[in-house]
Amino acid sequence: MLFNSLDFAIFLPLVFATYWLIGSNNIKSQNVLIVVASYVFYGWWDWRFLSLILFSTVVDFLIGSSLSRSENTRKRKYLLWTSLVVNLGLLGVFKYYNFFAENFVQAFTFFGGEIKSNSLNIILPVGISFYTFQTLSYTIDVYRRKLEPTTNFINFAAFVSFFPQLVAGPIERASNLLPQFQKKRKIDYQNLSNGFSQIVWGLFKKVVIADNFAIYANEIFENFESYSGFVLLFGAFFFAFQIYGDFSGYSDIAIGTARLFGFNLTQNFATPYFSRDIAEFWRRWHISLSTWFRDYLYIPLGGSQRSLSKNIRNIFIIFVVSGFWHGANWTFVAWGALNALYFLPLVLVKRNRKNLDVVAENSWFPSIKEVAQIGLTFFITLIAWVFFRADTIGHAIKYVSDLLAGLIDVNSFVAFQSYFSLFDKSLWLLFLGFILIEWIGRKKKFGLEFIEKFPKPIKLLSLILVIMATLFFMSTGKQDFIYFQF
Amino acid sequence: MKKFFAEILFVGIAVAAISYYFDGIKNPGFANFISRIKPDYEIANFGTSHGYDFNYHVSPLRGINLNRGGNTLFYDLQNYYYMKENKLLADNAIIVLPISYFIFGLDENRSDRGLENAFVDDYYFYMNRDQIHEYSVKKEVALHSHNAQRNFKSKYKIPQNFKRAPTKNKNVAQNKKRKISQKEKLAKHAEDRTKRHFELARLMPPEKNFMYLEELILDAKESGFNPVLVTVPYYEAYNQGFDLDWLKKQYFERLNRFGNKLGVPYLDYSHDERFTKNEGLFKDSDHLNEAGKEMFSELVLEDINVRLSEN
Repeated sequence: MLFNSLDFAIFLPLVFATYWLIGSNNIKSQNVLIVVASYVFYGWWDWRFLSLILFSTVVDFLIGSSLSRSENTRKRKYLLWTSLVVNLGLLGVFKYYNFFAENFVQAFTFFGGEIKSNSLNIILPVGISFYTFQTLSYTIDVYRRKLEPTTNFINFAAFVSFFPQLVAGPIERASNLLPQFQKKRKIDYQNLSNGFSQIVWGLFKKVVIADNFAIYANEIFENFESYSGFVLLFGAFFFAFQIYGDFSGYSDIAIGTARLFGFNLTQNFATPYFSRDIAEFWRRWHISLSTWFRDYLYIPLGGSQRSLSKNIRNIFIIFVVSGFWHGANWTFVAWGALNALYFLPLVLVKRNRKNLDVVAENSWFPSIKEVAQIGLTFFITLIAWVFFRADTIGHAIKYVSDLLAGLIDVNSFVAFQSYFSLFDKSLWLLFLGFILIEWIGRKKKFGLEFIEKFPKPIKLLSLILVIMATLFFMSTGKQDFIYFQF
Repeated sequence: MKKFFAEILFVGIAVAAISYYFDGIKNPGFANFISRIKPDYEIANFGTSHGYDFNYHVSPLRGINLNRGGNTLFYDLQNYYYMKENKLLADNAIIVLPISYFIFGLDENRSDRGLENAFVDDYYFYMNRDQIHEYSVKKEVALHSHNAQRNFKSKYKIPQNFKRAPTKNKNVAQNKKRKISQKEKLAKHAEDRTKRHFELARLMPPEKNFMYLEELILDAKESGFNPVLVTVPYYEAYNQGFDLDWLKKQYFERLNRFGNKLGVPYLDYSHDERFTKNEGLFKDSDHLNEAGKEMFSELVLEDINVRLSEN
C-alpha cells in the first residue's frame, strides 16, 4: 500500500480509530492490531512476500531467546552467525543473486572461459533491505548484551513489521522501538497534532516536489546525450530534489503516522542540502542508515581509533557497502566510493566533525561564507547523484563530463536559458516556498513543525494552504517511492 | 483527543469545501459538453467518431451529435438513458445509431486502451454509479480531485504542466514533408487504420454488444422515438482493408438480420460510390471532411424521412 494512495487514506483512519478504541490499557490487543494492520499493509502490495517477513521474524525471535539463555561464547557466536546468514542470505538471494551471477559470468568470459548465465527471474520484495537491517540490529544488540531480548512474540513481530516504517524506514533500532511496544502509549494532543502536520508535509514533499521534479529529471537523464551541459546540471538538480522529496517525504509520513499511534521514530533527515561540508551532509541524510553502518560496521572495523590508513579503509568500506545496499548495480558502488573520496580530505585535515550545529543557528540568514560552503557541498552532491541515477557507470561518466564541459561553454548557457524559459514561474514559486519552509524549520524535526507555535487559526490556515497546494499541484502521474526498490 | 479531532474536522471540511468549489467550476471534455445541452432535440446521433459525419445545420430539425471517439455500445445505451431521463429528447425524436465495423468487438470500458480505463473518465461526471461499468469509488475521488486541480490551474492561468512544449517551427516542418496526393494520403491512412480496427472488431464475442444495441432500440421504440441504424460512408481503401468475407458474414448479414428482427431501418452508405471513390469528400479514410459531411447529412436525412414514413 502506498502512503500517497486512497487505499492508505481509508486504511489509516480505520486502524487509528480501532487502535485507540481498544484503549491504551490493553497493550496486548493494540500490538496484535498493529501486527495484523502491518501485514495487511504489506500484503496489499504482494501477500506472497509476507512469508519472508514472518520467516525473518520467527528466526530472529528464536535466536534472540536462545542468545539470552546461553552463556557459551561459541554457541552465542554460532547463533549470531545463523541470524546473519539467514537475513543476509535472504537479501543476497532476492536482491543480489543476479548481480553476482552476471558479473561472475562476465569475469569468467573476460579470462577466456565459457559459462552459461543462470539469471533468475526474481521480484525484489519491497522493503527487504530495511526490515532485514532492523531485525539484524536486534540480534546483534542482544548478542552484545546491549539489549534484553523480548519474550513476547507479538511485540517482536510488531517491531519487525510496524507498518509506518516497514517498507522504507527509518531503520529502527530495537533499543528504541521495541521498548515502546512493551509499555503503555499515551494519546496526547501535541503528538497527534505534530504527527498530522508531519504527514501533511511529507505528502507535499512527495507528490508535489518529488513527483513533479521526477518528470523533468527522467526526461533529461533518459535523453542526456541531446542536452547541453547546463541543462544536465539542471537534470541533476531536479533529481537531487526528487530523491530528497521522495525519501524524506516518505520518512516524514512514516514518523508522523507512528506518532498518531503514540510511537517516536528516529529522525531520518535533517535538511541535508543546507550542509556546509560532506561530513555534515552524511550526518543529515538517511540518518538511520548512516548510524546503522557506523554502529554495526564502522566501529567494529576499528572506526577512527586505529591508524589513519585503517580509518581511510574503514571509511571506504562503509561508503561502498552503503552504496551497494541501495542496489545491485555498479553505479551505486561508484556513488558510495565517490562520497568516500569527498569525505577523505576532511578526514585528512581532521575537519570532518567541524559543522555539528545547524547552519546560521542564531541568525535568520547564513553568512556569505556559509552560502559558498553550502553551494559547493550541494554541487559535489549533485555530481554524485548522477552516478546514483544513471543506468550504467559509462552513462554517468559521459553525463558528468558533458556537464562539466558545458559549464565553461557560452553556447551551453544560451541553450540552458531557452530550456529554463520553458518552465512556468509557478514551479519556481512552489520550489521557493518549499525551500523557505525547510529553511525556517531547519532546527526542527521536520520543515513544517514551526507552525505548531502559531496561534491556532494561523496554524490551521497554514495546514489548509499546504494541503490545498498538495492537491492542486500534485503530479497526476503516480510515481512509486524510489526507496521501495532498495 | 477531542481537540485534535475538532481541528482535523475543521481542516477536512475546509479542504473538501475548497475542492468541491473548484471541481464544480467545469466538468472535463465530453461531460462538460453534455452538462450544457438544452432539452427537446428532434434528432440525435450516438456512436463512435464516425458519428462526426452528421452535420445537422443542413436540417430543419434541432439536432445534436452525441458521438465520441471510440465509444462503446454500452455507453451509447447509457447516454441514451441520460438523454431520455433528463427529457432532452423531443417527442418522436430520431435516434441515429452509426454502427462502426469494429463496434461489436469492443468491451464496455475500452480496456484495450490501457491507462486504467481512461476512456470512461468523463462518464463519472454525469452518469449514475449503476450506469458505469465496473464503477470504482477510488476512481471517482481521483477524477474529481484531478478536475478540481485542472479548474484551479485554469482559473489562475497556471499551465496544466509546469513545462510548456517548445514552439515548433511549422514552416520548416512543413517544408520537410513530401507533398503527397490526397489519394495516397487516404490509402496510407487506411492501411494503418484498418489494421487496428480489424483487430478491435475481433477483441470480444459480439453477443453482449448486440444485447446493448437491442436494449437501446427496444426502449427507444417503446418510448416513442425513432431509432435508425446507419453505416457511414468510408473511402474505398478503408473498406478494402477489411477481410471482405468477414465483413459480409460478421457485419452486414448480422446487422441486416438484426434490423429486420427489431423492425428498425438500416441505411448502409459504406460502399456508396458517390462517396467511396471521391477522395475530395474525405478528411481521412474513415471520416468525411466538411463538404462530405454536408453532402452526406442531406442525403441521410432525406433517406431517413423516406424510411420512417414507409414504416
